[in-house]
Amino acid sequence: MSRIREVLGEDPEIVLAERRYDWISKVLPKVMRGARPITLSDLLDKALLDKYLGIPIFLALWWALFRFTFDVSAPFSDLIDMFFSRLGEAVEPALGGGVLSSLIADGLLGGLGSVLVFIPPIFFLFFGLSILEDSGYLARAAFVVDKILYKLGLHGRSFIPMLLGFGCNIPGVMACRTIDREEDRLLTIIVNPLMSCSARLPVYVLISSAVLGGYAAAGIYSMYIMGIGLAIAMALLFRRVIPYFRGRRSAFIMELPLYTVPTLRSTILHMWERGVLFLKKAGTVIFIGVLVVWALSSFPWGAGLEESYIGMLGRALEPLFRPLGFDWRGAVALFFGFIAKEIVVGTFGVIFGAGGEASEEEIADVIRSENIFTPLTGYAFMAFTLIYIPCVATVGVIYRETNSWKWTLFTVLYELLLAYFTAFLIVSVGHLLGFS
Amino acid sequence: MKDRRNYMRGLGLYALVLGVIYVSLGLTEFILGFFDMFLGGAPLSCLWIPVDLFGGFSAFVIGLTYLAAVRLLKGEYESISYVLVATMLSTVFGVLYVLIFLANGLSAYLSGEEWSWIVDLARPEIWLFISSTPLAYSTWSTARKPG
Repeated sequence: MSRIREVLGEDPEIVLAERRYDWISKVLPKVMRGARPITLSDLLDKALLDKYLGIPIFLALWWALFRFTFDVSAPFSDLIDMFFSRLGEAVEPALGGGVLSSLIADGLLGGLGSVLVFIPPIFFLFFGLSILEDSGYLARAAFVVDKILYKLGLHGRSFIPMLLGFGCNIPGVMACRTIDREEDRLLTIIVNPLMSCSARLPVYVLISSAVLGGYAAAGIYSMYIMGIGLAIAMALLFRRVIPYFRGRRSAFIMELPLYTVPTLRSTILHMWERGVLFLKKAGTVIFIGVLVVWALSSFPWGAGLEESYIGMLGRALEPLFRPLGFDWRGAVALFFGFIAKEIVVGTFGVIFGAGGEASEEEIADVIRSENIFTPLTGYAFMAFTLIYIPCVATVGVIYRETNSWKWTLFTVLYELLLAYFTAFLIVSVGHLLGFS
Repeated sequence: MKDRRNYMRGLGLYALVLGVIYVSLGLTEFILGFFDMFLGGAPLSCLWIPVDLFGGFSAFVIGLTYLAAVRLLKGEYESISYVLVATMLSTVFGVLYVLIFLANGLSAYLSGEEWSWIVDLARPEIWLFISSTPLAYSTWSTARKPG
């Protein structure tokens, strides 16, 4: 391949594409008469790929997606919330006291229930993403962002795995296989976890609705923009600092699909295919994680929460997180978030549901009333959740795709440091600006 | 030919009016949102102008997209593309705010809490979306015609 590149003096992929389109433009006038009619796709592309309006339109559509995800799904979450609250009220008196009662009320209904409340926003997010993808717009979004990425010295093709990362980082990391140049592929893999996957959404929804009031949706939106910004910034930094990533970028050639009106059936099908992964995860990894959190928070049996094993763990971690304004409960939630991000919410559900089933609104009330997070520290907590490694499964896939413990460990470490630094920066600058 | 040119001019004028309204609204919403978020409160409170930083940005973008179609006034057909996209964005945001109105109503019904429906319904983007439907119909049907 390098020999071909040397002979052609250019990337072979570019040369092949140029020759192909040269040939098409020579053949077309021979088989077609008159001017080529302007299609609807051409007209839409003129505006959606506009040099100045392309990116603002992308940001506006992204904002619409998050209002849809956050606000329109809210009553459906309320319904699930009410179901778990009523179930808890009905089940708890029947079981009496003891370990089994605590396991069901605090562990299952409080912990797992508090995660399942987020099924609607996750499904709404996937519904919106499916519409954007099926209509042909998402491919244009990659094309529009490529212009910026290229100017920043990055690889445009990276944006497609990064977009996939919005759903789940695992397929995002795996999609990096489409990138030819090994250095570009590796660079995209190690920044992909910065894209905010759907597992982080429950954390954002819980914390922002608890402390950000009318700016909850804006807070969530900013997390996604922050994820894209940090991924670009880190890729740029690594390219400049790490010699391995230096060198010429490979070409980004993409044939844009025609626009189509997405059918309800295909949109729902795509939403279900992606959303069902969350349900499977809730039944396995999250279920086990929440049970572990429940056991650690309930034993030694009869001891208060602060004297439980989870309290001890939290106290040990607390000094590390104090500069960020997180107490032991925030620290311990982040600790278990290593397994899967949804467990952060599950941990809050178990901790605040101690002694009874906790609805999403009740957990948010506790966060507010006990001053666990202020708007500023809550926002920093959301940023920390966004940046540090998404889950154990993603770490496994990074290892499989890089086949290197060195790069896997590097990804985990730089993300932890970046998460800490960013959260600290938010809190420090926020204090300087007079935010509480 | 002259009729078509006049028709394009008509569409361009319609888009220009909507563009100016959207840009003014978006800027006001954005500035009020900025004051509210970073400077301790919005200096103005009006039912018909929401305090919404990103919503204001989006309305501003819709307005700019309408204004980008200004060459329609000279009869340039291809500028219709900006009207197509602007009406599509108007529809996305109009429908979105209607859905939010319905969702807030359902939430209030489920929780038994009070709901100030007039605030949700006074969202100007809903009414601007309704005002843009004749333009949307005309441009989309024109663009779908072959040639």
